[in-house]
Amino acid sequence: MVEVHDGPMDGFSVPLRLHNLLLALAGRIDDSALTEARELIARAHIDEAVELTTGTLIAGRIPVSESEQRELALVLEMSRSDATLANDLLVEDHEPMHTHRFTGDNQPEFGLAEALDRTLQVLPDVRSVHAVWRNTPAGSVPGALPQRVVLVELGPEGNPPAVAFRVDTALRRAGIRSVVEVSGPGIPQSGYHQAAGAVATPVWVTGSTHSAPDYRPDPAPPQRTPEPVPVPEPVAEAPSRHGHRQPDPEPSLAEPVIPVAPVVPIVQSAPAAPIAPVTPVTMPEPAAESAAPDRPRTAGSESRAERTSDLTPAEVAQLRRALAEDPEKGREIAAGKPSMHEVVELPALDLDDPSLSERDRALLRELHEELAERERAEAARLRLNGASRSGGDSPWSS
Amino acid sequence: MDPDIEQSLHELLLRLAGRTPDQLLWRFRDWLGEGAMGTLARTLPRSLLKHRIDLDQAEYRLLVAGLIPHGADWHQVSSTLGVDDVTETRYTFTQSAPEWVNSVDSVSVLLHATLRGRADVGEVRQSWRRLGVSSESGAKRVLLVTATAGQPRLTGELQRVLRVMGDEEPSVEVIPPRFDLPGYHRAALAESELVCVGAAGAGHRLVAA
Repeated sequence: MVEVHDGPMDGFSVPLRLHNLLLALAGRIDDSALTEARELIARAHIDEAVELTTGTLIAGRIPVSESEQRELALVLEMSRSDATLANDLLVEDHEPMHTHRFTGDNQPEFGLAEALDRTLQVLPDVRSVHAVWRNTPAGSVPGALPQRVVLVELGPEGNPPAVAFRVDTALRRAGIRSVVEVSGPGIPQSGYHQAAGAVATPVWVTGSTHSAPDYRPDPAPPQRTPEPVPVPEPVAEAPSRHGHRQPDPEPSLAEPVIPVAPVVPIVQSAPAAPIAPVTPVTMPEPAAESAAPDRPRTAGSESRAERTSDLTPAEVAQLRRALAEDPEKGREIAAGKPSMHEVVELPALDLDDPSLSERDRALLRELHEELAERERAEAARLRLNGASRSGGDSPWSS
Repeated sequence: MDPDIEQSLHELLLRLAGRTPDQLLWRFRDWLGEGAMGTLARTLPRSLLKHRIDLDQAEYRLLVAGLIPHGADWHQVSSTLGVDDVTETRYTFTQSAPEWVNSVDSVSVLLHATLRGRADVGEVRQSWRRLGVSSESGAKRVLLVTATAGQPRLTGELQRVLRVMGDEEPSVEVIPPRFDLPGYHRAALAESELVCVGAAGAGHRLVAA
């Protein structure tokens, strides 16, 4: 029997360990096995997922490293499967390099934004979605080519196996065949994902500055210092269904991939965030722009968009929760319009956070002061004019 | 590998057609074609139990003969033997291809190019399976092949071909000589069309000419 040790995945839950293993096996086993295993993980059938994965590797005589064998044995054991199955794996110290060819030409993103519209509104903490064609077969029983590979990046609140399953389901429902690769924080990108991401086309990005570079080979060591995260309300832009993306003559890793096709927003709600390197052209949302502040701001020339894009991760988390529960309320928070019905409670100020700049701290203080003042004003107005609440639907009607 | 053991499992996986989800069945058949008997022994009985697929006595004997020598769990294997009648499938078959298949059916052309006159291969036929009276979009190709030898390996090979051609969960039924056809296969053959004939075709016709 294979000896079982905790490895580099120690600390992850069993489903996440298997999900991360599947990420490492992407391009080495067939896409059907990857997709089915991810669905089984999401459906809490871990034992079937790991048996399918291990069986596919054994039957296809696909070599794995010793650490991968140990990890599979561990997951088999932890899911009450027969861990001796891992003994039949073909273990090779020096794995042959699996090289795959990817291309962003011929619109791999076509139709994805529409198909994923609702899914991306519902699933929490999705940072970016990219798409690319893979022109090479994967595994011992490959499917049809080219294969569309959809790369999804999540923040810490996202659940990678669940998102992989839901995104795949939405795409299948729309008749789009693909394999969905979902990466979360803390897992280094494999060569497969880096190669795919280097030429992938953006489908949906939050505008976060650290959404795209994770998929691209970074010459410098990755910096893990937390960066200010922009407003989470999707400012999603998708290349037009009718547009033709011009192929980049020399896809450069350093240069952003910006489609020249006209873009249309999937979800129109929040002001445009600062454009990230791979963010398509963004369009401000008229309604949000018209939401003029009811008191002069002290931040001088800064626009609302600039200010909301400097929210701290904790505030972004609050906004995301609010969006998940009630998109309307979330939009109000993002636009600086607390609802009449609810008191907005921002997390306590952590001005000692070393990752914050002086400008961040000043903006944070101002934001909290402004919201606190609004809450006080709203509370006073409610006390004076409580009858107006009975209308309910129009918070700014009074 | 013991050919009797391999043959037992192949016949069992044939008889499970229409009662087992396609995405499981083609995978198990692929593993059998690759000779991954230990993997099947550890996974097939559990999978049957989880999907509530009961075996009749003949099928149960095939499972015992095929997997107990390879270390299958006796408790799991013995739990697969059902008492009640085996559930009938709800599929119907038609001979005509659905509209989404091009006027040139490239899969048929490829099969014809690959299997015509091939050793150990008899007739190659195909039928279109539907679930109940569902629309044409749910039609699925079922390939029916007679072969005198090497059925598991031929199944795996044809599955790979169909997958590359876009059928993610191929239904390939490679039928050995003197095999008592289950109702699923009889219904499929009754509504099938000839694709091509291999070298062993003359003596192994599935449907009277």
